[in-house]
Amino acid sequence: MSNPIIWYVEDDELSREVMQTLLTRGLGYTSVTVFESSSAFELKLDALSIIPDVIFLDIHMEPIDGFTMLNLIRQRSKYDLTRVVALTASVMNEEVKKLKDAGFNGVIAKPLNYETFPNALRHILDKEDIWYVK
Amino acid sequence: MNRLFSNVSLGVKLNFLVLLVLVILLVGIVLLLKQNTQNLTEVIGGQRITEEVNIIRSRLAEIEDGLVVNINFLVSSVSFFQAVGRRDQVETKEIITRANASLKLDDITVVDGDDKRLVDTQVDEDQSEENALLRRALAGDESTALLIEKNAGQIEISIAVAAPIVSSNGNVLGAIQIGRHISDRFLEDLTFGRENINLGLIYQDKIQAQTFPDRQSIISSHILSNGIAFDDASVKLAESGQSVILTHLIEGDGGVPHTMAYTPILSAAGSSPAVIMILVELKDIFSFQNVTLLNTIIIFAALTLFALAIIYINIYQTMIQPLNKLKTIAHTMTSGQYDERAPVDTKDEVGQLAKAFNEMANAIQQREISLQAAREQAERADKVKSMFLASVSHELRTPLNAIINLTKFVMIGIYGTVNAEQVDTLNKVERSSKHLLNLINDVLDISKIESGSLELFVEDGLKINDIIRLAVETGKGLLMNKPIDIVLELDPDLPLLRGDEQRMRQIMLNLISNACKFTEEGQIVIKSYRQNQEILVSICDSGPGIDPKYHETIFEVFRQTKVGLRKSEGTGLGLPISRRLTEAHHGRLWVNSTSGEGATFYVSIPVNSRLELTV
Repeated sequence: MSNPIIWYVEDDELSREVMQTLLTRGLGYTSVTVFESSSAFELKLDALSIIPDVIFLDIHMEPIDGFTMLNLIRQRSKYDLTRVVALTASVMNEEVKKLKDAGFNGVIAKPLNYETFPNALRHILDKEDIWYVK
Repeated sequence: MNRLFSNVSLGVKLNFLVLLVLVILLVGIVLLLKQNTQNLTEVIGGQRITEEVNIIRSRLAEIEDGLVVNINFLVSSVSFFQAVGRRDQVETKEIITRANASLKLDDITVVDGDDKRLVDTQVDEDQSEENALLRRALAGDESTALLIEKNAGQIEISIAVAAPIVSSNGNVLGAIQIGRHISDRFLEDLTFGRENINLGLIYQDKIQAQTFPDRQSIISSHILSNGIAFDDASVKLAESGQSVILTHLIEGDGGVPHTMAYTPILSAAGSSPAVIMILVELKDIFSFQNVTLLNTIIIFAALTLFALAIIYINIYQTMIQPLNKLKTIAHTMTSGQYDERAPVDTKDEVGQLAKAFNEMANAIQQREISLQAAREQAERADKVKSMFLASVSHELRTPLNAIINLTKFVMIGIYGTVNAEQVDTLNKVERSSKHLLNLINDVLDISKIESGSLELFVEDGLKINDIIRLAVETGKGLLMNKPIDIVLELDPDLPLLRGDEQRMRQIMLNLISNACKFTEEGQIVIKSYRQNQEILVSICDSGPGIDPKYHETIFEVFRQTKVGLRKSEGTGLGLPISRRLTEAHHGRLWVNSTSGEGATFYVSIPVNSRLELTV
C-alpha cells in the first residue's frame, strides 16, 4: 500500500504536529488527516465519505475518550475494514490489556520512535495486530 | 487417664469419675460390712461354742454318773452277788442279761474272786485295760476309765466303770465292769441330733467316730466335716485334760464360718487319750451376712445409678449444652459470621465463659470492621497510587514525544539543511531525551515493584526463542557499527512458556542491550536450552567482564560499577528490574564472570509455571 489513508485524532497540538510531520514529510504519505478533538471527529464520522485504512486514536481525550471513540467507529459498518490503533503515553501492562479487550487492533507508544514506527505501521496495514510497545 | 479420655465427651468423662468414686465407696462399705459381720460372727460363734462345750461336757458327766448308778444298782442286787459268790456262770449271765435289757450297756464283764470271767458280753481282742480295771475293782476300788480296745481290727473306745462285788458281810466275791462305746450313735445322742453341730472322736491322730452325716465324702481321717480338719496342737492340749475353745473362726467349704472346740471325755482331771472335737457350723449367720451384703450392694448400685442420672442431667444442662452452643457459635464465627452471641443464663464459670466469649466476639467483630475499613482504605490508596503512576507516565511521555521527534526531524533535515555540528548537537539532545524516557520507564517500573503493585499479564504459549529474536533485533541498533557478531544457538524444541510476554521481552532486551553496550569487539553468544524443569537463556559477551565482588551489587537499585557508569547512559535500574521481573516469574537471574574475560548472564524460567493466568 503505497499511500494509505490515515486519520489521527489527538487533542495535544504538539503530538498532532509530530505525527503529521512524521507521516507526510518523513514517510511521504499524502492522505493524512488530523482531528483536533474527539468531539470534532465525532461530528464528521458520518459525514465523511472517505474510508481510511487506519485510524490512530489518542486515548486520554476530553470529552470523548479513545475507548468510546472506538465504539462509535465500530458501530458504523462502513469502517469495518479500517484498522483502529491506540496511540498513547500510558503503556502499562493493565492499560494495554484494556485496549486489547476493548477491540483495538494494536497500540503504539508515545513517544513515537522514528526508527521503528514505519515497520509497525506496515504490520498494521498488513492486518496484523501489534501489541509490542516501547 | 487424662490421655485415655481425651477424645471422650465431658459427660462420659464425668460419669466415669463419679462411677469410679462410687465403686470405691462401695468396695469400702462392703469391706467394712464384712469386717463387722465377721466380728459379730466371732462373738456369736464364741458364745455358741462355749455353750456347746458346756452342754457336751455335762452330758458326758451325766453318762458317767449314770454308769456309776447302774453299776451300784447291779452290785447291790443280792441274787447277783450270791450268783457271783457261787461262781454260777449261768445264773450270773441270766441276771446280767435281764438287767441289760433295760440298761442297754455295750459291755458288761463279771469276774469271780479269782479273776476268772463269769460273764463277758463283748469279748475283745485286747483285754489288758479291761483286766487292769477289774483287778483294781477286785482290790476294792470302784473306778472310772476310758477303755481303748480293739475289736475285729477296729479300735473301740468306751467309758467304763468297774466296781467290786461285795457280799453282805463285806467279802469281795468278784468284780464287775460296765461300759458304753463311744460310737457314731453315742456322739449323735450327745448332740440331740441337732444340725450345725458335729462331733468327732479323736484318738491317735484319727477320727474314730463322728456325727457328720455324709461320711462317704470324708477324704481324710483328719477332716470332720466341710473340709475342716482338726489341729494337733489343740488335740494335744485337750488330751492333757482341759477343754480347748478356739477363739477364731474357721472357714469351711463354701466360705461358711465354723467355731471349734476340743474337750476331754471324762470329768475327772487327768489325761485323756481320746478327745471329742466339737464343730459348730455358723450357717445361719453366714447366710444372714451374705443377704445383708447383697442387699447393701443392690441398694447402693441403685442409688449410684440414680445419682449418676441426676449428675449427668445437671452437668448436661449447666455445662455440656452451653459449651456445645458456644462451640457452634465459634464455628459460625470461624466461617465469617460474627453476629451470633452465646446466651448468658448463669453467673457460674460457664456463664462467665459465655460472657467472656461474647466480649471476645464483640472485640473480634469490631476489629474485623476496622480491618475491613483499613483494607478498603489501603486498596483505595493503592488505586490512587496506580492512577498517579499512570498519570505521571502519561504526562511526562507526552512532552517527550514532541522533544524527541521534533529534534529528530530537524536532525534528519526535514526542515532544511543542517551542518555536522548541528547534527551532533541534536544527536546529544535526542540521546539525552531518550535517556530521560528510559529513566521514566525504569523509575515507574521499580516503584511498582517496590510497592508490590507490579502486575504480570500472564499468558500461555509464549515462545522464548521468538522473544529473544525480537530483543536481538532491537538490541542490534546499539552496536553502532562495532565489529561484533551476534550468534544465536537456540534449541528449537523448547516447550511453550507461561508468563508476561512484554516483561520477558523487557528482561531479554535489557540483558542483550547491556551486552551490546559493553562489548567493543568479538562475539555475543545467546543460547536457549532446557535443563531439568527450567528453560535457561544465557547471554555471553566478550566485554570487560565484572569483578566477582560486584556480582550481587549490580542487581541492587542504582548500583552500577564504575565501568558501567563511564560506559553507558543506563539508568542503573535495568538489572534490578530484570531480576525482580524474573523472580516474579519464579525464575532466577544471575551472572558468571571474571574481570577482563567477558560476562555471561543466565535467566532461568520454570517450565511448569505456578503463575495464574490473567483472565
